[in-house]
Amino acid sequence: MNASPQDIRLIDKLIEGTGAGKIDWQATAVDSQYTASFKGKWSVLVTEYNPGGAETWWSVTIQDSDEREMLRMTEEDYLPVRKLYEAARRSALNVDEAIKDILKDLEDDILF
Amino acid sequence: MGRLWAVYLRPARAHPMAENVFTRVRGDWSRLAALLIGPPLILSIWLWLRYRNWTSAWTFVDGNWGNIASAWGLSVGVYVLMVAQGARRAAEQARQLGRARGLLEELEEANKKIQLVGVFIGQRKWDLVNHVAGEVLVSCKGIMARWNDLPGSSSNTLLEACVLIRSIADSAIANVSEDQTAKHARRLLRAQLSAAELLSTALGHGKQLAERKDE
Repeated sequence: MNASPQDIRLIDKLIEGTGAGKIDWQATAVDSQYTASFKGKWSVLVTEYNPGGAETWWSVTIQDSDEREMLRMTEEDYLPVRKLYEAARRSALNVDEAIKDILKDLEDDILF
Repeated sequence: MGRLWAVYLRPARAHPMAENVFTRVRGDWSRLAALLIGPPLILSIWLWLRYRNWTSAWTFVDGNWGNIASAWGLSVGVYVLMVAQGARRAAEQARQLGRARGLLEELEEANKKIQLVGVFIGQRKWDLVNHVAGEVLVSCKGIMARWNDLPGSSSNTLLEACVLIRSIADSAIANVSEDQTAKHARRLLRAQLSAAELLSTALGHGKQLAERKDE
């Protein structure tokens, strides 16, 4: 499947919104899967398949509130899908906050 | 019968708690008395002031009793119409509030059940995790479908909880190798905690909304 310009715009906006901390990503019970919802109607799921395996791939799925799949894209359709997964993972796990805390601690140690 | 009259005679204010309106008007006969006695009393005073003589006054009434009765009937009709409209508005508001309360109770129940899911995950009872998570999912979807005036942020929170609960229900019955069970359970527990947190948030928003309507 080839990604349409609108699909590409959506992925780019999701990456941008995640980076800006505007999107609340949550880790699901499925391994390496994160979700965010919009307008109480749409859910975005980003998934990493076969993590650490020989052939790892990433996908983004959009579904409605009845769990019908509206759109599915992989990094083969649009390469930044992988970037979106990584951004969502960092946001859901508060990676940036953890890094900030560790850096602050290390810098304080150096000062005193 | 007395209670029925009292309900009709007291214009219901725009209060969401209709039961309070019904309770407050019980036994209130003053308006009925005013409506029945007031117009004849005013007419009698007017006739007395005009004729100073009951015979002449009675002659006037005898000649115009149809007009007098019509005017009285019209005023009673207008009053009853106003009261009925107020009562209908209050009943509609009470119905809406009752519906919101029912949905809140359902959400509270779902919130309790998601805690139970956590207990079953801890006990590695995967079938029960799947079953109870499925029940919570059905409740949440029903609430989302029926709660039309739920603010956008709350329905978003509920939808996010639904996605997490679905993932719990599906993952619980997925085949997991023995050495992966602990990791699997931890993942499920994390998702269960996030779902519980989201449900609590939605419940809080819902309660806030109901309280605002209550005021």
